Amino acid sequence: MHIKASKGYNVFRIINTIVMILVVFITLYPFIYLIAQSFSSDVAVAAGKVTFFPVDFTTATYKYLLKDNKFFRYYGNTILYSALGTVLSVAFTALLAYPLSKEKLRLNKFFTPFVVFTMYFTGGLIPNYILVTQWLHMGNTIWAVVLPGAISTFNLLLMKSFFAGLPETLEEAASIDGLGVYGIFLKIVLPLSKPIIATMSLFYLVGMWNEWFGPFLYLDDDALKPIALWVRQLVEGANSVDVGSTAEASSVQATLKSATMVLTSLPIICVYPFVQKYFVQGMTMGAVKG
Amino acid sequence: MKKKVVALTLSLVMAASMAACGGSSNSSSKADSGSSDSASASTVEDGDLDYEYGADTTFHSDEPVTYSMMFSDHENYPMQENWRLWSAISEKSNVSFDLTSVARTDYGDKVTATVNSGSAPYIIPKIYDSTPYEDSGQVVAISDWVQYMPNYTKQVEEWGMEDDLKTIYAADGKYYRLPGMWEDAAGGYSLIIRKDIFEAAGVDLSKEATWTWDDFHEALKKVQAYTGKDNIWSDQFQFGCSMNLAATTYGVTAGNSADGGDWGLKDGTKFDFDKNEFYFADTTDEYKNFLTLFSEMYDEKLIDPETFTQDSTQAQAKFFRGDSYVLAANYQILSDIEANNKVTDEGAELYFLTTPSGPKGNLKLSTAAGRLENGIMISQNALDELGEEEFIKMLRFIDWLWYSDEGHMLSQWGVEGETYTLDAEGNVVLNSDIYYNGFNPEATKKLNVDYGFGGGVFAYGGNTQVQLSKFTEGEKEWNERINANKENMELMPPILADEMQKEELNLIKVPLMDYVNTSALEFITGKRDLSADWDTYVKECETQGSSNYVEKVNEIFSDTKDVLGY
Repeated sequence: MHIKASKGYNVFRIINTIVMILVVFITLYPFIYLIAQSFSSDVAVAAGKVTFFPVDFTTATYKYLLKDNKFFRYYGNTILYSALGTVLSVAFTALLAYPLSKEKLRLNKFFTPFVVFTMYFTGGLIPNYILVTQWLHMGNTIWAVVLPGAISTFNLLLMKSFFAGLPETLEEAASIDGLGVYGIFLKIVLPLSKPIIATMSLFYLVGMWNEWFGPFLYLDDDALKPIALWVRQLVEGANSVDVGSTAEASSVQATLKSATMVLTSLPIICVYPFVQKYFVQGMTMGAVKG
Repeated sequence: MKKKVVALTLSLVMAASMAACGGSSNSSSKADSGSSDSASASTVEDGDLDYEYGADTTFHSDEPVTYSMMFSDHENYPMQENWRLWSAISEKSNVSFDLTSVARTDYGDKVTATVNSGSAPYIIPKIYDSTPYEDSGQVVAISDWVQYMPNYTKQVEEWGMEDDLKTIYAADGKYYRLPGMWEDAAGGYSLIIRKDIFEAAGVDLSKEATWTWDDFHEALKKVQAYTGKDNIWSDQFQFGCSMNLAATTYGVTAGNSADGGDWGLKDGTKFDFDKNEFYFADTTDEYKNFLTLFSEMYDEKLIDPETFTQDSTQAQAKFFRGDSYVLAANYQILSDIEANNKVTDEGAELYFLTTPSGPKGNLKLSTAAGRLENGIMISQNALDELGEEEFIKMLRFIDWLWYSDEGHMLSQWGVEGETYTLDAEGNVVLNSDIYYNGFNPEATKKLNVDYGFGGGVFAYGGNTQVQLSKFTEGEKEWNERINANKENMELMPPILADEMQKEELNLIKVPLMDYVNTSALEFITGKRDLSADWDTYVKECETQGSSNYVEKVNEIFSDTKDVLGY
C-alpha cells in the first residue's frame, strides 16, 4: 500500500535534504581541503590558491614523507599504543563496570560516587606527573601512555548502565546451572555485550589514536613518541612565534602538514564505517537506564 | 549516609594531599640548605682536576661524562640522534647528553612539570624568562657560580654586560639563568615592502632609514593612489608586531596577539630617566598620537580590517599573491620567503625597511631589550646529585660550549673542513652543498636539518664576528643601514618584585592591560572615537588601577635601588 506524502512532508523533506547536504559539506570540507593541499605545490598553498582541488598537482610531498624513517617510527608507536591501550581500557572498564552495575554489591553506595568523583576533580598536573614518574616509575615507558587514562569515567558509566539493563534472570539461570561469578561474566554477560564493547573500543581507539598530552608529559625519549605529538608540533608551530631577536618562525611547508594529517587520520577514517553502526546503538543502549 | 561517605572521601583526599605537600616542602628546604652549604665551601685545587678548561681553552674531560638536558625541538629541523652536532661535541669535550626532547610549542609546560616535580634534567636551555621558576627552589641561583666560568666572565667584562645582566635580576638580586650574550644587538622585526610597487608609485626609498612613521604613512598613501587599491597593508601576527614597532618609537607600549603573544604590551609602564621613576605610558599624549597614526591609516583604508583577526598564513598569502604590499617579519622569515620563491605576483621585488622613527627618536629597536638572549637554567638536581666539584666541572663545560668563541663556531657552523672552511680573512665559507639561512639557496642538504648545527638550542649569542658570519649580504646591508642611522636605547631597570609583590602586581596588570589592548584596537578601527572617548578611556584605566600599579612599582624600585645601582 502506498501512502501519498502530504505537501508539508515534501517541503520538509526538501528543506531537510538541503540542510543535511550543508551539514555534510561543512563536515567534509576540512578533509577535502587537506587532501587538496597535500597534493598541491608549496607555492600555490602559500599564496592561498588552493580551495577544492589540488593546484599544480604533485605527489612529491607524500614521496618525501614516506621516505622519512621518523614518520614510520612515530606511526608504529601510535599503532602499538592504540592497540594495547584499547584492549586494556576495554578490559579494565568492563571489569569495573560489571560489579558496579550490581546493586547488591556491598558498599556500592560508596564506590559509585567515588568513581564519579574523578570525573569532576583531578589531582592536577604536577601531582599526576610525580605519581606516574616518581612513584610508579612508569616515565618513559609505554605504560605511562596506556595506563593513567585507561578507564574513562564516562565510558565506564555507559557500560555500567548497559550491564544493569541485561535481564537479571539470565544470570540467575546460569548461576543455578553452576556457573560462578567469573563464569557468568565471561560466558553469559560478555557475549551479550558485543555492541557496547564495540562502542567502547571505538571510543578508546579514537582517543588513544589522538592522544598527545600523556605522551608529551611522560615520554622523554624521542623514539617512543606517537604521531599525534608530531602532528601537534607541526600545527602548533605554525601558530607560535617566539618574540626574540633570533626567533625562528615555523617554515614547515603547509603541504607537508596536510599530508601528515591526511596519513594520520586515514586509518581511523577507514575503521569508522565498520564500527559506526555500533556507535549510535551503543550510546542509546547505555542511555536506557541511567 | 551519602553525606558521610562524601565527607569521608574528601577528608581522605585532603589528608593525602597535605601529606604530599609536607613531603615536597621538606625536600625543597633540604635543597636550599644544600645550596648555601656548597656556596660557602672552598673551591677545588686546579691541579687535581680530571679535565681541561679555561678561557679560550677547549674543555675536555679525561673520562667520558653524560649530562641530562632538556631539548627544545623545532619542527623546522626535528632532532635526530645521529646529528653530527652530538658527535662533534663529544669528540672535542668527551661529554654527551641524555636528552629529554620536547616540541618547542609545549616546551614551557614540560619545563614547568619537571621543575616543579623536582625531576628536572641538569641543563635546561632555551629559557626566555626564568621568573616562574625562581621561587620553586629547584633552580640554581647561577649568579653565585659564574666565577667558575672563565669564558662567561671574560665576555661580561669585555663587552660590558653588567647593566644588561641587571635586567634579569630576581628580587634577591641574583639571577637564575645563564643568558646568551651578544657583543652587539642586531636583528629583530621590521617591515617587508614591495619595492617594485613603492618605486613605481614614486616613493623615494633612498632615505628610508631616516623615515618617521608619518613618512611611511605618506608612502602608503602614494602607493594607494598609484595602485588604486585599498587594504595595501594586511599584516600578520594580528598587527601585534607592527604595533610594538611603532609603540617603542612613541615611548609607549603596545602589541599583544594570538600569534606570538606579548610583542611589547607588557605592563604599560615606561621609565623616566630624568625623574628616576616609572610612569604609566599608555594614557599619555604620546600614546594618543600613536593611536591616531594607525586610526588615520585605518580610516584611509590603508590597513586591511582583517589584519586584526586573520591568521598569519592568510596575511602572508595576500602578500605573496600581490593583494597587499607590506608585511611585518624578521630576516629569517624574509630569507625563507626568498629561498622558496613564495611570492607569486609577477615582477615582485622585496625590500626590508628599517623601522621608522618616532617622537622618541630614530631608535635601534633591537637594543630595547638589551643584548641578552634566551638562556640556560641549571636545576638544583645537578648540584645535589653531582656534588660541588662535579657541578663546577659541568658549568665549565657549559662555559666552553655556549660562551667560548670555539663553542660558538662549533654550534653555529659545525666542524671546520667538514661543513665549512675559513677564507684568507678568516670569514666563514659554508660548503656549497649545504643550505643555511639564505646561504646557498640551491643546496640540497641543510645545516640545521641534516647536521644539527645552527639550531636554536646551542647557536645564539657571541661576538660580532660570529654574528656577522650568520648574515647573508642582504642581512648585513640591512643591519648596516640600521647601525648607521639609528641610536641605541637606554635599558629600563627591572622591577625586582618578590613572590607576593609579583602576585599583587599581576592582579592589577592582567585586567588592566587587557583593557588597554582591547581599547587600542577599538580606537584604531574606529569603534571608539579618539577625541570623544579618550577621557573615558583614561578614567577607566585609572579605575582599573594604572596609578596604583605605578605606585607599587615605584615603591619596589626605590626599595631595590641599591641592588640595581641607581
